[in-house]
Amino acid sequence: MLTYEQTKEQAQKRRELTDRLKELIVERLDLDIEPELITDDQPIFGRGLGLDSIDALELFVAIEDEFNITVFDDNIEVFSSINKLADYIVENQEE
Amino acid sequence: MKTEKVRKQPLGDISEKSVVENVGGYQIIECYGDLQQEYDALRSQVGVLDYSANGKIKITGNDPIAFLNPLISIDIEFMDIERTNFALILNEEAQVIDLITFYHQEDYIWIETSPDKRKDVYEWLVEKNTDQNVEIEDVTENYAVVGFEGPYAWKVGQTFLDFDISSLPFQSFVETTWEGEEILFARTGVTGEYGYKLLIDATAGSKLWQYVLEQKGEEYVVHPVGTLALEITMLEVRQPNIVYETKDLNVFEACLEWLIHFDKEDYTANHALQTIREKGVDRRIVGFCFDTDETLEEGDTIFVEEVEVGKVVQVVPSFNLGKKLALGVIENTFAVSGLTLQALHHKTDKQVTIQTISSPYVIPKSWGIKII
Repeated sequence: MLTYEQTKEQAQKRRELTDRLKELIVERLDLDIEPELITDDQPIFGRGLGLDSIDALELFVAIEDEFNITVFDDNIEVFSSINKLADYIVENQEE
Repeated sequence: MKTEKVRKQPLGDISEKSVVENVGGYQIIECYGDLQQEYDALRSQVGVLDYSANGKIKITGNDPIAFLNPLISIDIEFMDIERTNFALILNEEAQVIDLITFYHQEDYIWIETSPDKRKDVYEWLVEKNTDQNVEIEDVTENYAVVGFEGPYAWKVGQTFLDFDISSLPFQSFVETTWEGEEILFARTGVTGEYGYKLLIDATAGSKLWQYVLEQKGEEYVVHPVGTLALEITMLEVRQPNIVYETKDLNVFEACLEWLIHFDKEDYTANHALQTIREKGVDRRIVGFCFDTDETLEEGDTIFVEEVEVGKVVQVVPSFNLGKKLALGVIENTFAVSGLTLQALHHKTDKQVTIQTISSPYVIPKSWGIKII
């Protein structure tokens, strides 16, 4: 079990990653929304952020550019929320 | 004397095993008898839901869109007809009155409210109709609403339409007839699975309910589902449930920003939203899970080492996850996915290890099934 300070540090790292992902999505897709208004668990596609399959292709490229991680287009779960995308990046960076 | 057309009994049959609650004068079935069977219907087959107790408010008259747009959280100025969507109704202090579903037709807007918020929403709309440009009518008692959701719900839905159901986009609807009755047929849902909802005259509600239940296919059964199984599946995909998520929390703490169009200039809650946003919030809702053998309840404490950092908001059994699934409101510092924290079940004084996790907590089966 981590200490209070260790847990705080882990949370801070996670926050930095999700914040960067929100900025990246807004920048690369030129969205008219402030990144801080995107929540970690909201849907990214459809009624959430309103993104579509074309946006997904752009995001594949953006994730590869920024994190050097490939997302395959049959892995729809990855783009179901900012948190799921962050999980995928963390899991694949650690491999 | 007013004709009593209301159906305050549920459309489904109540058995000895059923759990029933009374809301707004309606009996609502929480569980027909087997919670896991009802859950499985929604996640693997087709689950049928009686939404008849939901409030139904019809707005007609001179430009209903112009009337409603400043009163709801999303911008509908350019919304197409035969489209439906969710929106929050906030008061001037940005407190949540309800999360509504609304349907935009050429000459009306139909609003569907939570069962216990029907009166609040109706009275608030009437209060805002100062220039009497629109007519607002509570038509709850005139109509029954039957929903069905699940990976194979589209097969049941197809039986109501004379065109390919795949051409009906999510969040749209058509007016059609069934068995000589006018119905509104909408593609909408809250579980992440394929979902449809039908509005029909209250007198034909039972006939429609029975018809849907008889539509089993080779790959699936159709089963009535109560509100408890529905709440589990909603939480699994983080569909907002304001019964839990806005109790004592503002919209930012509840992470409901995505249901608000902040650039809408004439929104009645704008000033309060701006004030709350500038002030900032120091806690947020986060999903977490823990072992099924353990128990936590609403109000139990969440902590790191011995420091209290939050409270439990909602707990459900998630059968597909194989865990208990919950929401907690946690200090901003720790309100992220991927942490291992502790919680204390106050009744037993037992400590429970919890993991904050990422939504959707269960991936809907429908995501892997195409309508053909």
